[in-house]
Amino acid sequence: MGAGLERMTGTANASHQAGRVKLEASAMFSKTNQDLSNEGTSFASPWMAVAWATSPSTYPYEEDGSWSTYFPVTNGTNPLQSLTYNYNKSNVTRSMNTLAATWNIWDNLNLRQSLSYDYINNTSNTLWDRRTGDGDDYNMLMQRVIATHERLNTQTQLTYAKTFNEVHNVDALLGFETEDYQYAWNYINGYDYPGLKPEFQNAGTTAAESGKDRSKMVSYLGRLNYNYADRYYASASYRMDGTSRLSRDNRWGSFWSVSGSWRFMQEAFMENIKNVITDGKLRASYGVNGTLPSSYYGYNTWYSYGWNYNGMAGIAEGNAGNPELKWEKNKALNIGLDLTFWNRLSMTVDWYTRTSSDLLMSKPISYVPGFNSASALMNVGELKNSGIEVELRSTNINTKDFIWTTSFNIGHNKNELVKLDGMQTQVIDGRLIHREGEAYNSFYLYEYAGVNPETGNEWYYINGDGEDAREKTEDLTKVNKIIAGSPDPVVQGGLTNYLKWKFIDFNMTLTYSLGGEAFNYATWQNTNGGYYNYVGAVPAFYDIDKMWKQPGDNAELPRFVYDNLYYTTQSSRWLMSTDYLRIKNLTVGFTVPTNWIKSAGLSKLRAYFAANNLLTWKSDDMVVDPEIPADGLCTFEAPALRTFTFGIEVGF
Amino acid sequence: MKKNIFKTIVCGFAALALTSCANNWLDTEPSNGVGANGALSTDEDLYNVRTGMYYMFKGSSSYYDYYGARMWYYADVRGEDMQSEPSGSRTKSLYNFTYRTASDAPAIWTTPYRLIRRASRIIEAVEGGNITGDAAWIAEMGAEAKVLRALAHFDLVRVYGQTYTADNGASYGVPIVTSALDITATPGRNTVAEVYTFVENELNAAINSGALSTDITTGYVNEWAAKAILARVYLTKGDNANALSLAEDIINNGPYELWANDEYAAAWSKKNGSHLKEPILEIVMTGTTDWVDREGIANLYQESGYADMIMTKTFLNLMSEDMNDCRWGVMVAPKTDDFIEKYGEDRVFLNKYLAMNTFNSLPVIRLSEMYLVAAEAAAKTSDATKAAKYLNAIVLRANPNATPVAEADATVARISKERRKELIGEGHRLFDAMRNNETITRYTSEADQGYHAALNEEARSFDRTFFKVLLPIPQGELDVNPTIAAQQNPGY
Repeated sequence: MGAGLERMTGTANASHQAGRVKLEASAMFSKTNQDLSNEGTSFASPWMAVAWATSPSTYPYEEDGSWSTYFPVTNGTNPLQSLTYNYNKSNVTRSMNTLAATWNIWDNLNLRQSLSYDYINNTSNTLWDRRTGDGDDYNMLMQRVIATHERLNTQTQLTYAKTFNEVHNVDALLGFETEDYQYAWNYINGYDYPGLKPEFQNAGTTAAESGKDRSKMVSYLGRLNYNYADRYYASASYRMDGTSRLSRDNRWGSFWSVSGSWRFMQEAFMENIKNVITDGKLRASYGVNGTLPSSYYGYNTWYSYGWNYNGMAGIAEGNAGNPELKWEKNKALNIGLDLTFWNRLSMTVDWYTRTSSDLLMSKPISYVPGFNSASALMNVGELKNSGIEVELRSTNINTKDFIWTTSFNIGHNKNELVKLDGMQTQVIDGRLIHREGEAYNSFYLYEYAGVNPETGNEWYYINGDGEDAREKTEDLTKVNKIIAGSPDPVVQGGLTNYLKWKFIDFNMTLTYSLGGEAFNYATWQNTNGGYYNYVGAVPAFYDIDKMWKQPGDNAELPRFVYDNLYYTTQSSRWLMSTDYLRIKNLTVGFTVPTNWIKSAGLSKLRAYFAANNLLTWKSDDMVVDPEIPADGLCTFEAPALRTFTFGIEVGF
Repeated sequence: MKKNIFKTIVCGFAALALTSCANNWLDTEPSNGVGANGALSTDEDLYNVRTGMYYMFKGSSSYYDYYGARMWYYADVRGEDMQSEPSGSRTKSLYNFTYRTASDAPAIWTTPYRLIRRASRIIEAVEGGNITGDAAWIAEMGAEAKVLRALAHFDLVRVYGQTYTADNGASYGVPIVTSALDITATPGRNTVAEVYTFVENELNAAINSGALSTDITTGYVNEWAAKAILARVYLTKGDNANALSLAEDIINNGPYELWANDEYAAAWSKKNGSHLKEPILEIVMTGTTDWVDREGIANLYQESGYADMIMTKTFLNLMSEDMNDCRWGVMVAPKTDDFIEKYGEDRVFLNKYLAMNTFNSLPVIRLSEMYLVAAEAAAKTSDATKAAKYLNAIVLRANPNATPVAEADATVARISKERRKELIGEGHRLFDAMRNNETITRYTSEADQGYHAALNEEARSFDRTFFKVLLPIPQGELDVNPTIAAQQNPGY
């Protein structure tokens, strides 16, 4: 399908101790070549062009072997031809280097300074060959983006750890960090090629653009941990971060957290049940942290270029900047309980609630001030996420030759939009609604009530304020929309089993999700064969036997009629359940016994085979991959790919 | 102990120093823009910002709701002389008055206010006095900005507010903006009278400052343009004495001349040698980097473009009173088969602005209009001699062999008819009819329907009491501005 990836990675680490100073250096280099395929709708998109726009009666080659043009839906463009000649390649080169020095000043007082530099170069080329539907308008179009990302981090840390009187354990940390991120891009395009060689020297017309972005951050932080006899733990931290993305007045954010825990099983009064509950801990923490705005320069209104008049270039304010822009704040409260039974079964329960306030939102503004934008980024809005997570880990069998451990986790999260922008209580965005008091992403649809046995058309519940709310009607002007569901699942989690027998190890991870729905947004396929019946594209949702045929039929599917005016693409009929169970990862490994390899100077040699996304069980009406986009609207997203990996681990 | 305190203080200062040094390091600017202090420090900077302001005056393919296209056709397509061509779609709802609420009505709201913001920035900078360079040039650019800001307010209040003469400006107009407001501003509407006072004061200040040029400045504002706008304002307001004196000033003292009878048809093109005689304020385009592209008014009038508007049978009949009228020269018959089938040889397409790829200039104000302003103002102040004199300048230019209009016949109604003939397609008809309380009748029955589409009763014949004559404040504005939401025009 035109997608593929090859990657080469290498890392090296070295460390050296010289008296009181320890030096560490590490370097990582990787080169990735990736063939990308288009998601969404374009002639070159395999998902759209091959999976949907072709029917069994189309064929890729003529009898003489040349490319066929019998593809009525895509106006004669042969998707296989597009896939063969067009490409979208990305070459990423990455080098990440760290240098650190730790100076043991006195006793347990250490000063560590590290410097790391991460450099990424991403050159991507997209070619629309002249022989394909995308490229023939341009007589071949080649586009190239050369982008570099550079990140320079420095970190200075002063740490001190000490035990007093054998029971008081203290460790303190003071830190200073800086980050400098630069992104530069160059874009070239060329079209009108006389031949097939795509370098830009050959193009008839070329154009270029470039840009640069920079974001910096400075942080001061401190943390203090204390524990008494490994029984009572307390810790507190404070940090101050300044970012280049905000104006000077709002630049610095102060964030802090406190936490405490109590290993109650160490208490004297718990002695008698200690053989059952071998370890237990009660934890609580509360903290405030911040999120940066994603816009680098939204804090000011900038004069931009290109406002031309009378042959001259002019400058004028180009955006609606907000000098009051500030940090988004997240307040999180977490209470947890850890219990271990018989030293082999452990359970962790966490209850959390996290409120995000001063959320950044593109808030519409009045036109009277005359800004060049109908909205400005402002800190309004409040969102709350709360829930419970439970994890169970058990060491089922633990003998010299055989180990079997299982771990299971389940989580439930409730998302609530507490405040929108202070003026509106809801915003309708296509099939979604963001309403205060509900989950941020909620589907806002007519409620489908099945097929009318008399006429074979779709039926909907009225859902109005009157007494006829639960009555059914075909007439869309009488029906009201309701919140019909949400893409947020009720519970999700995973189950992992790890077995090791002598030199063979086996790991299987299952993931699952229950509750939650997705909306089938490929609406033109959902119109009961009405207006959007593309020539040759077979509407895949119809099962002739299940369709309504005559008055009195209690059918599952409404009647199929060309140019049917009785339809809507905005009903809950198009919701699909995202319940699924998936074998996320299956790994089998073989470790060579150490005495065989010791003579070769190796400490570890292991070979493994792994498969990801091996098998999925999902609901019948779910036509796409159940790992859906966050807003729940699905069209032609690439599914999670099944991958197979082979690897060798060597240790020296 | 002392050592510890000393150490703490030093560390504290170090931390402070680090913070202010950190602050400097954390200041970043985008690579494709400059801050306000970088944009407005010298007169050369101001010149570039002024170009940016004129961009909003001209409009573009994204900003065509003002002089890009809509301000040109708004008043004409709502009159009886021009109509929407069924194949077009841009002018249709303004023509047939089928919009019902603020969310489905067209608007001329956002681009004028953007122009006002850019003009306010220039005025603020000039009045702040911190720009270095040629003081006279700086003052001139500041005065130009004042004039454009006043023009934008005047156009806004004509579209959204009841015409001044209907109720002496007592009803709601538009918000007056005199500075660059911030993103949280939600101003309410001033009355029509307040807006007129503001506009008059701004224009008078610009004219009296002496900073504006008195030469022809093609593409830019000069003193004559400011006076012409002010004359329009006074005429619309009903202050005829002032309107007359300003119009006469331009006619007698300005560097402009009427196009001659034989020059008329060709002089609309900027390439014609006589073109520069009449336009007092015009919008210029030079190429594809500064044109309005397909959404521009030039493309909307052209048969080979979007063909969005044609002239009505009523107008053709009006012009047929004199087949030797030189203004037939800008009216063309259809050339493509589809249109020939509909309109035969009737010259329904207006060719004042030529095709978009000629990058022709668009005269916003012409000398001919000043003659008609003078004539109307004179007629209203019972100066029949002057009224006839100025009216005949236009009538006889159109056809030198026509009978001159006698002084007794130089009435407001006669002048209004001449305005229709002369200023068609230039954005005047509706405003003229509202000012003089005329009734606009498209057709009364099938017999005189001509090329009109089937119109609702209310759209066939109406006067200034019809609520849809005013556009509603746009829904987007109502949603975010509670002050204005309570001040919507009646009927919506």
